[in-house]
Amino acid sequence: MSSFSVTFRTPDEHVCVLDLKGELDAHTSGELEAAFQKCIDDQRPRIIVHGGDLQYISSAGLGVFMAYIEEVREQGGDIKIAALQPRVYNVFDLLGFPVLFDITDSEAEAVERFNADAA
Amino acid sequence: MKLERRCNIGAGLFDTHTVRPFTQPEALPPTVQLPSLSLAHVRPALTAGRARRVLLWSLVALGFVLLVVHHVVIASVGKPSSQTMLVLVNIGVVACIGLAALLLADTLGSRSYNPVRALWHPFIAAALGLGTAASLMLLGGEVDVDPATGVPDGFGDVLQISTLALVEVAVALILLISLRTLILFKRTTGSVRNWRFMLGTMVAASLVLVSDGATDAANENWLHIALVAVAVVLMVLNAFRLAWIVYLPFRQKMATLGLCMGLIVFLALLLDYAGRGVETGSEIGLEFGADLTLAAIFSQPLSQFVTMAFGFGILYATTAVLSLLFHLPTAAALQQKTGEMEALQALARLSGEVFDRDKLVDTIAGAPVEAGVAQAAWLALIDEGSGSLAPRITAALGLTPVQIKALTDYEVLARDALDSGEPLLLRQAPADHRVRARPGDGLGSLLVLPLVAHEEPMGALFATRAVSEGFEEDDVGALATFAGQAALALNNADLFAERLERERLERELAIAREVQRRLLPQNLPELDGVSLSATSVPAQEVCGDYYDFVRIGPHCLGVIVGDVSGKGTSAAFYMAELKGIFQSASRLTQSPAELLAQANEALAGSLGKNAFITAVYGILNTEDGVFTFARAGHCPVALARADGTVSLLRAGGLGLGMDRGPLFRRALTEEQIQLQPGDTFVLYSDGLVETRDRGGTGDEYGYERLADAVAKHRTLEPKALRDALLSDLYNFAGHDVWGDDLTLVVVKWDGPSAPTPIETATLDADGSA
Repeated sequence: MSSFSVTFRTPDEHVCVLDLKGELDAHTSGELEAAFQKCIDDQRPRIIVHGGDLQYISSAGLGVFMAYIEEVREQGGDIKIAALQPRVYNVFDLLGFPVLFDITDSEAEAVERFNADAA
Repeated sequence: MKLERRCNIGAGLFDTHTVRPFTQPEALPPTVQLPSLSLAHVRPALTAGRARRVLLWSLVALGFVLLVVHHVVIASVGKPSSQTMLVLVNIGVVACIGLAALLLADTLGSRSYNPVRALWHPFIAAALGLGTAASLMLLGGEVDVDPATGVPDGFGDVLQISTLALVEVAVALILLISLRTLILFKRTTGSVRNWRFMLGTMVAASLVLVSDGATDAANENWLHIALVAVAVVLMVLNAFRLAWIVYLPFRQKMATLGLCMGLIVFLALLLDYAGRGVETGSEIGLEFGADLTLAAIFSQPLSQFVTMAFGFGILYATTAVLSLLFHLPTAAALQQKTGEMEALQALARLSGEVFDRDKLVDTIAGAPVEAGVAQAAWLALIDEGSGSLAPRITAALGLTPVQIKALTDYEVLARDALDSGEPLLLRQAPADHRVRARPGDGLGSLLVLPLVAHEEPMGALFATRAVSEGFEEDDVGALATFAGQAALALNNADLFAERLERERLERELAIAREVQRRLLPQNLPELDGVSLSATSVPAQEVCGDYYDFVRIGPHCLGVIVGDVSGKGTSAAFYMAELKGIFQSASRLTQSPAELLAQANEALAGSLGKNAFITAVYGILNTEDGVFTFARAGHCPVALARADGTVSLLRAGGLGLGMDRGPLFRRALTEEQIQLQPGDTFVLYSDGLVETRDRGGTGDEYGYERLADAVAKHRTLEPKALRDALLSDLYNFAGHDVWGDDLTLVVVKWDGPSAPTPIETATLDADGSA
């Protein structure tokens, strides 16, 4: 039915980009959890979630971000969300995500923010 | 006419008794009982019904009496009857024997198979016959017959000869009928054919002699000799049909051995009497067609048939005795083996009926020992719940788990057997590296049987014997079969337990749903100047959506809609908690933002890290139409103005539980809207706007469609507006199964002095107000 996939990219040695594709809901949120956990385990806490191909996100999917943000920030990293489609962004926005998360228009911008944070 | 029927019937003598139960006499119309019918119909038609049987027996008796009378007449006249008369008499004899055979087969042949009983009948018959013959000899003395003509001298002699003939025919018929069940045990087309041919040639060999008188030399008839020779060959063939012996337990083998030996002696003595010569009492011998024997005086065909029947009886009993003697030493071993196999089968059957897992596990582990195949046995099962693939000893008999752990590396053995999928047999267990037992520890040979159900490894069944080389091939085969059934039984028990658990959960969920339904308002509050409607449709048994109303003072109405992230049980618990917080906090503060901030603080301790609640709370002052609200991450409020404009009010705010610090309060804004009379606002959960058009494009219903629908139906009263919005959603989605919980609350401000009475708020049948 609903399909979802997460793919890893490491454009440089500091950040870890997760490309989300499809629909993130209660059934598929486990995959994103595993991806976040892997980033933490690999000591790569600078995570950019690239949502260009994300079609839908449910409250369970949003909960995954909530669940990991604290731990990632404790490691000195962050989860930045980039390139969301307007409709998906609206869901993040309604819930107040922009208050808690860096949400950028593009992946490059997110990388810049990481570099700025580090500086 | 009678002869023809006899010939027809003779071909199938004794073999159609199975037809009998299907043809009750009243079921057959009288016309079908004509002799022209096919063979299958003739016998039941002849023998069915008590009255008819009595009639037929009377016919046989009458025939016998007539034969006796015939001999009396001959004896009184002193010379043999004419050739024509002789043929007629002999045909009468054959007809009577045939009829008697049918009747006897009907009485004896329909019994169930039992070798002892099958031999018991002819044994008793032969003994009785012998007794009768002997007493006749004692009472009547020697039979006096004219040696030239074969005519008896007096009435006493006739009676003696006739009675002997009668006895011999009876014994011969009972013998053949009884042996038939043995010879046709495990029947094949070939065996049935041989049996019928044998009977056929015996009858034919007898019929050849219908024109022969008492003194005619039978051995001059070449056709007769050929037929007898064929019959003898067939007798030898049939005499080796002894399959029934193999299956007999020891005691029954002994019993049948005795019966066979007795039968040989009795039949030989009877043949001796039958073949005894006359006048001088000298024995002529057992040769077929011997001159002037007692039976031959009565009737040559009868004498021939009886002699052949007895000869066959003796032959068959002799081969049976030899075969029984050969099989006696193996009987005990066979019986033990059979006992073991039966025990295993019984246990396998039993284990299929036991659903109590503990009991089942004990039964399976104990089975090899109970059946006597092994001296100790244990069951090591993989416990999926423990997360480990290493099997654990679940039940043991003959050894304790501690001993087993000390003596064997059972985990490795079980794993090896499961990997290979074949029984693992250690013929000399102490020599194997996986066994720590030394010779003398009582673990000479070890058999490991993998338990696999539906290709899923479940564990292994272990069986041991104290001696090495203790398991034979057939033991391994039987235990492997048992292990296969045991694995399925265990699997069934697990499935059964799972199903019980699922049913229990379903019951619990049904209760939870009922409890949760009561957490939603049972009645809507009634206030002047405002009309309401609300509905909540859970996606699953229990849901995470919440709506509620509270009256604040005489003029204010508080309304909240909340949505817990996720669905199901955990969402339902948070929803219940939210209700508690709302009900208490709404009485303490007049500010929606303050209430949500307090709720956030109260929930912070209990909400899971990945859980949050979105909520929107507003207070409507029914006096001045001021609507004050705050939004904690929830869907925007849809406001439909009386002038036709629809707006989505989106005050800033985070979801409850998303931030446990000051950020929440900072992000939260409270807005005030001045309503005009007739203005309506709609609160809803995301289940509404996220409902998909599953039949078509897969699009979400979305905010635009919602706004359009609200605008279109804004003039309706809240209840009608709610229904219109829902039906618009149904039309869009094309189904009524929601992926998410769905809540809809409609509030209309009628103005400060409402001209119309407030809509009565009662619950609909579906639980919505």
